[in-house]
Amino acid sequence: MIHMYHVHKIYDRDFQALRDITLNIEKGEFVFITGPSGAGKTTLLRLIFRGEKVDRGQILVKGKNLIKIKDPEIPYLRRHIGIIFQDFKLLPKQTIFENILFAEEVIGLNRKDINIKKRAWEVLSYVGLSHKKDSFPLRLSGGEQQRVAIARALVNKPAILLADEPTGNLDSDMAMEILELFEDANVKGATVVLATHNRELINRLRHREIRLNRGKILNS
Amino acid sequence: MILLRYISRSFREAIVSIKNNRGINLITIGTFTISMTIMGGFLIVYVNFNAVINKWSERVQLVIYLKDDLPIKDLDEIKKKIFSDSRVEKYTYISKDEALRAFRKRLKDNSGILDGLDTNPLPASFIVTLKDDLMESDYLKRLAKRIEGLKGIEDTEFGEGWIERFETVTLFLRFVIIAIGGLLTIGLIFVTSNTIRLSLYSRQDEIEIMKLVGATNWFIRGPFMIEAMIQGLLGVLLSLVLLFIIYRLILFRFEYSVAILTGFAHISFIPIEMTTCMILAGIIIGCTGSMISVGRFLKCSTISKSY
Ligand SMILES: Nc1ncnc2c1ncn2[C@@H]1O[C@H](COP(=O)(O)OP(=O)(O)OP(=O)(O)O)[C@@H](O)[C@H]1O
Ligand SMILES: [Mg+2]
Repeated sequence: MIHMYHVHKIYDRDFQALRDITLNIEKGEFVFITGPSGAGKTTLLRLIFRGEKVDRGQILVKGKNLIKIKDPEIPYLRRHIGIIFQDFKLLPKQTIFENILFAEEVIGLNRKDINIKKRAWEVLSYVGLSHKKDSFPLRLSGGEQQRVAIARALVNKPAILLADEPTGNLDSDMAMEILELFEDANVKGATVVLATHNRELINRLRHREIRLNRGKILNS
Repeated sequence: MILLRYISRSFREAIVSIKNNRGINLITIGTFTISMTIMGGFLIVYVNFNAVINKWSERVQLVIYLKDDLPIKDLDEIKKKIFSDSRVEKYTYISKDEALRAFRKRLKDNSGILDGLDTNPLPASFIVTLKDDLMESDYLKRLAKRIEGLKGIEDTEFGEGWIERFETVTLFLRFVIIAIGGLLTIGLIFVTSNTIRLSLYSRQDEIEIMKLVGATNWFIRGPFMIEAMIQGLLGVLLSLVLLFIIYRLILFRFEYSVAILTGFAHISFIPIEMTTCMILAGIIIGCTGSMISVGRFLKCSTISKSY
């Protein structure tokens, strides 16, 4: 699903954020990306959804060569990828239901269509928030907001879920709840790549771990 | 269907954006209005000046004096030559007798002096009028040259000096209008692109999320383009209203004096084709301005890593 061969990422001409990364993440895998702050975890995820260009090496995502991908194709790549950040990135002036609808509308679906609404409602109830569908994001707790973000990432049924420190702002109980959502999505077939430095999470769920340090892979 | 939905969504979003940034939108629309009013003012002057010249130039004709006792064959030759020219609107033949009669008429009471003549000294002639605005006196000159070469021509004559002088003025006016139009266009593109940039920054987070969930650039651009196009359209429409009011209130009063000056009684408003062009220009300028700023914005905006 995600393949990298000798990938390098250089910032500001000479800063090596990632060096010689080679990795394969297969369809249906659940992988942790770990490492200390500044190791390059976020950078690695950004390469996968083409938020950043690779400077050297090859990268394939869902069969697409991201070196050769043209700008107009990038949105279509991202429709296969659900992306979740530590800071949720919800629209504050829209209800959480509208936030989900927005993600559907953006890819060309009709937000007035009853089936589209149904799908939004279903993902919200999947993350356990259908009863709060008319609330605004800032009225929700951090954990609830992150669940909305996950619902939004899931609504278009992506093949890949990328999560960057999704539990960074949450206490450990809440973190476990969030993690279970990823587990479940993974069981249902999504390939999950989750960057974190929360050892507790990593130890509880035994999944492959890709350790980064100063832009290099330590083990795999 | 999906396109229709995109467009209607873009309209909705554009209107929300205009409402949210009312101040800057009013300023932009105002700038459009002022610029287009200036432009329109020049157009009114140009249009009417042109009309006056056209009216005058109708009187400017090429006169071809013919030799006496011309054989029919030569006369036909000349006729054919004139007639074959596609720019010639009409020509009239004035025989020697007609010429004398007309001359007599002009002399009125003094026509008696002609009675002593035993032969008619006036030549027969053709009077040639060109089609449309006669803005090219060169053409008239060339026609005269060509015809002068024919057998049986005594002389040719036309009001050359007249036309050339006015030609320079209209050319100059045209140049001024193009120059002003160009400058205003650049200025307006600059203004709209700035307004749209502000609008883009105020919706930065939303755009980031759109990119995150896979919105195409056209989906993101839509509302901003429509916003700018609405600004341009409203600006131009307002300027047309303003121009029409000015036209009615002020120019109308001067019509009488203008009529005396030019012998030409009507001041007209900007013709419909030009107003259509102005409206289109407003929309296209808005579109261009927004394309520039959205293009730049999308190029340098990435999905941010705010931590
Ligand atoms: N846009 C950028 N320009 C310059 N340097 C950058 C940029 N993005 C990241 N870096 C640098 O690259 C290195 C890796 O950054 P990255 O954000 O990938 O680390 P991380 O592993 O996600 O860290 P954290 O755990 O703190 O989130 C850091 O030293 C960072 O300063
Ligand atoms: Mg990071």
